[in-house]
Amino acid sequence: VTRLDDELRRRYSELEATLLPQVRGADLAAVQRRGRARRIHRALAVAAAATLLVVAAVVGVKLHPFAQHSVVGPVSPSVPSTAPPLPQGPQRVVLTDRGLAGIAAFGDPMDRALASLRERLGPPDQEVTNDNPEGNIFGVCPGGLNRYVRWGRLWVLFTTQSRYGQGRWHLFAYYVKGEQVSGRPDPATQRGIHVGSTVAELQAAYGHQVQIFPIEVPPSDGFRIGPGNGPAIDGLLSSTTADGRVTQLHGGQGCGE
Amino acid sequence: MAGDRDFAAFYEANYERLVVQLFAVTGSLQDAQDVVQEAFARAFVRWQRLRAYDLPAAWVRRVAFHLALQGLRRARRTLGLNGRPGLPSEPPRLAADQLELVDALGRLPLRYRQVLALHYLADLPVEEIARDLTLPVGTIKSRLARARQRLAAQFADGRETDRDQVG
Repeated sequence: VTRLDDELRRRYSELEATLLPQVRGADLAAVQRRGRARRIHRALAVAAAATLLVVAAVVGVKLHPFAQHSVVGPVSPSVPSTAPPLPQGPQRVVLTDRGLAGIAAFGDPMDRALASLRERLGPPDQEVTNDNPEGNIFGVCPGGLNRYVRWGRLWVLFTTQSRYGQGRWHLFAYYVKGEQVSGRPDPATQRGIHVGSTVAELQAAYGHQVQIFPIEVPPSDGFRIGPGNGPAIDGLLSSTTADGRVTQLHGGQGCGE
Repeated sequence: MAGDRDFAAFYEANYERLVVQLFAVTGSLQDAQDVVQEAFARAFVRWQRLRAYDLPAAWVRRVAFHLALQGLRRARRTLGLNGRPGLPSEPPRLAADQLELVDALGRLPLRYRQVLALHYLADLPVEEIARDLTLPVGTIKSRLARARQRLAAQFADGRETDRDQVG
């Protein structure tokens, strides 16, 4: 293995040495022009999207009851839920726009949420405390200090400062990503969308309630189940075509770059 | 402006090496230059924010790899290609040994080419590749191991064929 590793290192290094002089001189001005054109194009696209959203919101309130309600209703244990009965099985986790159905809602105290999760799923696979303001695997999250706890591909995120609360540790988001771990939950939305579902399945499950859109910056394309500016379930896609796959699901307050 | 001067220096310092890294994935110098320039154009728009990053080049690299993979996958879907890069319009001048490597890479799945380029050309350790691609470290290790095995098998096949031809 070491010999092969050394050989590959040598071959790649030689390839790089040969190619570098052949790379055409960088035309910086053209790149800057391309960037400026992109900025104008983006500004126009944002303006058009904002107009469309306003029109859709005005029309949607009249046409779709969905525009006035959450996708699955409130799910805090302390708030009566309007959602359909939970799926059976101790390891089932249902994702909603307000939290994890029947387990914890965004804003719930960390101790209570973790106790509920441990009771349902057993001890977690990983616990991480992050105090790096430059970000982490989720980007820069709300509050200066975050705690992430993982069961299989389900991550639950806590902080002391988010739009759900200030000054005390509470649940502010969940993420579902990565590979499925045997014996661990495969969290899904109420209508069965999970990491690995196709765009066609997503559209069949949510129809006009789901917006699918390209994301300019990696890692991928995206979707949102829910209204443009209210509680929603967000996600990433490998592509926006019908055979594209859901690669990540997320609820709660997002972590930026 | 200072920002523009910064960006020019950043571009000059990183452009060529990034093109080579992308060439190892796309197999085409033209495509590699195109995606790297597009990635830098996107960086230029966000330069005020990106210049504060510890490693703005890592952002550009991520964008460029994403664009390259997206482009290759789209081409594969639309044209029914098997994922191997096509012949470049102006193929670079390479030694036989290097052509063998490029040809062998072209037979690998995109995800293998990507981790190989990040590891051997961008000099990233496994942990950093995992963070870059938001994948578990174990997945990256196994992709690297499988990619090496497949390359080794192809190199061995090539030597076998050479011997047969000589014999």
